[in-house]
Amino acid sequence: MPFPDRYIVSARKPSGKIILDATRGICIVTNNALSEPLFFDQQWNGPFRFSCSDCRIPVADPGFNFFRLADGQFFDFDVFGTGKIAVVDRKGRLSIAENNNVTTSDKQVGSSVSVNLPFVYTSSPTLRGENDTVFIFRYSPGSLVYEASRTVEGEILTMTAADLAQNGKKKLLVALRKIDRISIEAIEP
Amino acid sequence: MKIFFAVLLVWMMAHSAFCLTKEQFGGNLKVSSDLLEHIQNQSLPDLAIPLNINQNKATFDMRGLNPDMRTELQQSLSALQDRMNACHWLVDFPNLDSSQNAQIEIGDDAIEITSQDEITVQELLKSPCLLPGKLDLIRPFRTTQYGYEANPQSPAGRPFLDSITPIVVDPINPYLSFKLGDVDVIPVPEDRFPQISNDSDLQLLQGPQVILYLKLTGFAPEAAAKVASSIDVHELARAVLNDHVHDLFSAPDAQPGAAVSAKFVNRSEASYKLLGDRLQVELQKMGFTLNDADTSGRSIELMQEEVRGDLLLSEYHILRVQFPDQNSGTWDAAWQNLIKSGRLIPLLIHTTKIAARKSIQGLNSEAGPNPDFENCWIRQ
Repeated sequence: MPFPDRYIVSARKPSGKIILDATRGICIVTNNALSEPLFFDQQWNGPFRFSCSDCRIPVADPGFNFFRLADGQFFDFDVFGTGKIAVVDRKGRLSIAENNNVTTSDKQVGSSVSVNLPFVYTSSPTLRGENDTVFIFRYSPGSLVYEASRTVEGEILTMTAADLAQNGKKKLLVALRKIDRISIEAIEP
Repeated sequence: MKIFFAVLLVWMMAHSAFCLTKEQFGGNLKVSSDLLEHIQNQSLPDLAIPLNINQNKATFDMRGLNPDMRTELQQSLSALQDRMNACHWLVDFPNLDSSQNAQIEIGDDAIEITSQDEITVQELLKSPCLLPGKLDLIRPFRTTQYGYEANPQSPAGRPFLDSITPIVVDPINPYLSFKLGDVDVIPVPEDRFPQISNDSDLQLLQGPQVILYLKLTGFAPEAAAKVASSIDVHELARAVLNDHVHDLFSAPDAQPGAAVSAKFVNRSEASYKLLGDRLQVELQKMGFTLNDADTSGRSIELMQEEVRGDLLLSEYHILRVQFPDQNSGTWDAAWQNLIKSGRLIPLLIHTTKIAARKSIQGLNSEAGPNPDFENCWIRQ
């Protein structure tokens, strides 16, 4: 899907998100190589400019590989439920905000996060080129507890929980950078 | 809908556009000023301007640049065509005369560089000398009063670092400044390498490369062959440069003659001074009489040239600057002739080492030997 040149900015390290806004029935694209968030309508017309004066989701900071919401900067976030959000901030801390309460984990995590309640999955704080690990946390309001981990082959680029078989059971879809390729793997953590 | 998004995710990954990686923006890096001498000297492709190479022509598409950047780039390349410019020699490569020099067409939307063949164009593009002018708008870092700051308008994107501060360190022992926390990246003097390499707080990386060679004046081929046959380059490299070398030396074709008297010139400093001193002793042991007052007209000079961009271009530059009487034909033929006639004895390429704190990631450049400051980042 081409984006008009007028929206393109230079970014040394790409990062971004596609967010389905079910309320408005639109698909929002926020990416650090775009000058501002854009959206597509239900018929995939677009991209159109997305007014972000009252954004309640983090938006990519043009040129930088993080998202910004109010005064906060995040490497990754996942919106779940209504008004609930899990974020990994720039210091590698996992926090979950719900009903004006924020719960933060003590364990340092990597730069990707995905929520499939009651579990929250993150990557691990490994360096580029090293094998990564999926950290599994159990969340309930006011409690975020590290529960287990699972090592994967390669570096986790991003992850999302998805019900691929449409049977009500979500799997964790993980994009991995390996020595010779980037692959997508569905794992049951 | 969920399957659709899964497919969309796969598509996004295939285009590697929507991934989150671990490089972090921010921070100041304190770097030994020696290592920053060429920080503003990028090759043209490093500036991330769209490039198309078709046979012997390279075309840079400037339509993505703003008017000020285009003007800056056009002026820089125009400066190269001035015969008085220190980088003008580049357009003659690989010939020693101007009969088939590279043509540079500077348009409003594109720059075209045409040379005799594709290989030559590829070589030319590696040279930082292709952009001899001031390019503050388009380079990754802008020069400030105190050092360098990230250029948010850089076509390749803003560098990860916020700024770089040059630090003047003790050239004899920069390691002391490193241990005191005054500097984050230092060159490693070869005589300190055994000590520095054992420090678990740092990482050792490849630094700039330097060609070392002997320039002989007034020597007959047999006497020059005697010089060459008297040198043990491997022993010198091992003893002085910790074997961080690539050997360029080859045994002479001519039959070695008798040792003669000559003047030995060694203007080098630090490790290369020591290497020259040992070389002088080796020659004296083989019967050469070397002193500064020699009146025979013969001289042996230990010379050095930093490899900038590409080894072949650096050798070509040596020919143009040090042997100006070589002014016809191709450079590689002239290079071989100089070796055969005993006027030039290539010794080795020294790959220097730099030491950096372990928290600095991505400093090692895959494309070249110089530190990759624009893509490195500081782990928090």
